[in-house]
Amino acid sequence: MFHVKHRRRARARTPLAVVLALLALLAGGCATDLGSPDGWAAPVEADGVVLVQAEKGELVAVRLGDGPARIAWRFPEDAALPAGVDPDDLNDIEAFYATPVFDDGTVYMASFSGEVMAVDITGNGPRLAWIRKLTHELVASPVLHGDVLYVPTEGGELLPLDAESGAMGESLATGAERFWSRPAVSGSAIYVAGLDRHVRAAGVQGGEQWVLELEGAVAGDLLLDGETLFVGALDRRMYALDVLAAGAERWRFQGDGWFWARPLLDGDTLYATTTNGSVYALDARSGDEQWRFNELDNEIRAQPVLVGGILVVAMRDGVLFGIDPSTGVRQWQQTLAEGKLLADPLVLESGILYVTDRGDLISVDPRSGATTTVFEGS
Amino acid sequence: MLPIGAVWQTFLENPLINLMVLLTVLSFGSYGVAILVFTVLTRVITFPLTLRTLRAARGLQELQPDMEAIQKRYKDPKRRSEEQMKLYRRKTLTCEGAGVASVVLGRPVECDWKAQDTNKDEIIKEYERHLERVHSVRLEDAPGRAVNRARKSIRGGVNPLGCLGPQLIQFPIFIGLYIVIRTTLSQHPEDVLKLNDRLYDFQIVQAALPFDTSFLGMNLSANGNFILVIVIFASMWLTQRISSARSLSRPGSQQAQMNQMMQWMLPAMFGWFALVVPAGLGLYWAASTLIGLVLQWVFVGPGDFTWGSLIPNLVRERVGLPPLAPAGAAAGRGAAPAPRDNNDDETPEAATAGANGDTAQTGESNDGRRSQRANSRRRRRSGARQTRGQPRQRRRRGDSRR
Repeated sequence: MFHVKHRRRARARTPLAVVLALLALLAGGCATDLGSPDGWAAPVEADGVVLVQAEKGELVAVRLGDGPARIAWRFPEDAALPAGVDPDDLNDIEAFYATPVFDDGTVYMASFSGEVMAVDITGNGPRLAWIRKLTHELVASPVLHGDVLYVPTEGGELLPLDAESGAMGESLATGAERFWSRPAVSGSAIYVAGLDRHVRAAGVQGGEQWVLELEGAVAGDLLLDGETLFVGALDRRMYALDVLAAGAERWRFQGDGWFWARPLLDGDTLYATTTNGSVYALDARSGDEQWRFNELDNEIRAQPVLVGGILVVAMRDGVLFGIDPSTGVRQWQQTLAEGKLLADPLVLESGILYVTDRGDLISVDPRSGATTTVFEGS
Repeated sequence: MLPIGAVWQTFLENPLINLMVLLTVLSFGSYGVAILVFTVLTRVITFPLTLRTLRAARGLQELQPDMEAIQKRYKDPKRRSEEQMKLYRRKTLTCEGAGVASVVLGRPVECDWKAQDTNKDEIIKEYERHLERVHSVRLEDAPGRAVNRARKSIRGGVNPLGCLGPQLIQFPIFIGLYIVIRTTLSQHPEDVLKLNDRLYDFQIVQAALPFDTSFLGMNLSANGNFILVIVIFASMWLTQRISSARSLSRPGSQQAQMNQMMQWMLPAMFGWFALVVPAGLGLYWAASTLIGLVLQWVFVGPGDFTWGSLIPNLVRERVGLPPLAPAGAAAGRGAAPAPRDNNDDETPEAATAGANGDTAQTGESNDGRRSQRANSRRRRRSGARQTRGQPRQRRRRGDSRR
């Protein structure tokens, strides 16, 4: 009798235990990692091919011609590895936010997962020259200055790497946090800004020159013109700083959203865009607003480009605008059928190339806004 | 009409996201402190609901012996269901009535009476008869406030869905919080960019991003923080332990076994959950559970839980301490099994009285906050009273019933 009673109780408990266990598993399944990184590396022209992040963590060299585009090679899939490099080291590569740098037959890449690589593309396929795994993630694009590749990291380091060997020197930035913006280099100084709301100037050989605190974090790439450093910040302001006067503020402009995209300087006019979908034409000397264009409340992350007398602006949801740069009047509007536009465009003679978040390569005619898909990614 | 997703975002997620951002700014940029402040605010706002839930759960627990008696008594499911509904609707004047008796008699009176009626006036009359019979005191002779107090202490029955309602109301809030913490914690550039859509057009909010996600050595956006898992497991286990300590289910009964299983399963489930979500969410859960534990302790009491009861019997034997009885055992002793009787026409009052057994102990049972030790003290006192020539209440009540 006792055993029967016990068995009944055990039977009654079992469904509840199963339901609870299933609930726990379901909760675990739903609660995956926070959004996975996709990357927004801009396409780069290198030795007759265009490098595109066609899939997360994979760069494809696309050969464009009169006919359909064809893939020349893929990285890391087709890469020849030097002795001592484990192929598994390349399996960990996540997305690319950093735009690759091409110089003299070598492409320098920095992945979100922290790999910095030099790839020789002068042969038939890519050949990995060196790889260095850094401890922090990489979002900001590196810059090449002379023989040194400067790599800003999520950990607030600005690391100088020898372009030839990958040998790493001491960080040029100290006490900094989280770099997402590409630094600007001029002569003997390098300027970098971070999410910690500071702009720093350092000597290219080391040694801090000045540090300036802003009111907002800096995520967009810096633009240096002579002695003026243009810095767009997430406090909805565009700053013009005098790099020779320890970053003294020349002017600041209050916009309607985050300044995340790299601004474009054309003569005395600075074109800056915000994440609220506004395009501003500012007087680069005074910061005065010349005109403002806003027809759609949508983020602009890609840098605006000026081609054939038309200012082309791409919004995140795939809407493109052609704007008269002198008046701010819309010339044309085009909407992509699919894909988001977050990466900076590549200007070629044949047109403007945008890469979507799906890895498609879209050619845009700046005069008419006509779009052509020249390569389909993933 | 707006699609449901947009309504959810506009009226729940976005306000919470902006509140979270604002709290971070006010917490000197510390997202961890903001989560803690957020948790406290949430618990304060939902406190009335929490209290209702705790009270409803307690009410249901108090009815457990009566419910079991009804289940045993009535074979016909329809009749059983009717009797159960009557039980839920029954207005009660239980231990709080003892306070009234104390005022009337001018000395402490143990909880020795339980109303069986659903009509307020009838309960008062019944109570008056009880005082006269058992304590030889007339309620009308007592100060007027005693009558008022007796009336006030009559509660309007138990709502079996009383636990469910507040939980359902809190559910969207918790889901919203989950999404908010996930959204604001994500540190990938695309996600930060997307946040721009969700922020209100205030400079203080707009300029706040992105956050510093480190807090007390933890990366709040990373998964699998074991310290938080341990804190969540321990605090939930303790919460369950205290809840089951108040439970009046008989040791070995299905309810008691269920309680025991929940004591381990729920903490394990939430511990696992904390392991697979970002530490920021784990921090929220941990803080929320700890606050819930404190609230339960302060407003409902620890039941028969004592810190000493955490020492397992194995250790107790070695150090010479008496072994522990199972949780809820003290209360459960009062809930003697009802005599089996197939007469479906028996009144529910009689059925529940049979289930309650010893009247004095039923009173104790109904007050789940009394500890096991207190029960034995009372039994000793009751015995002493008997030796002083006072007949035991059990016999008296039995007599009066007859």
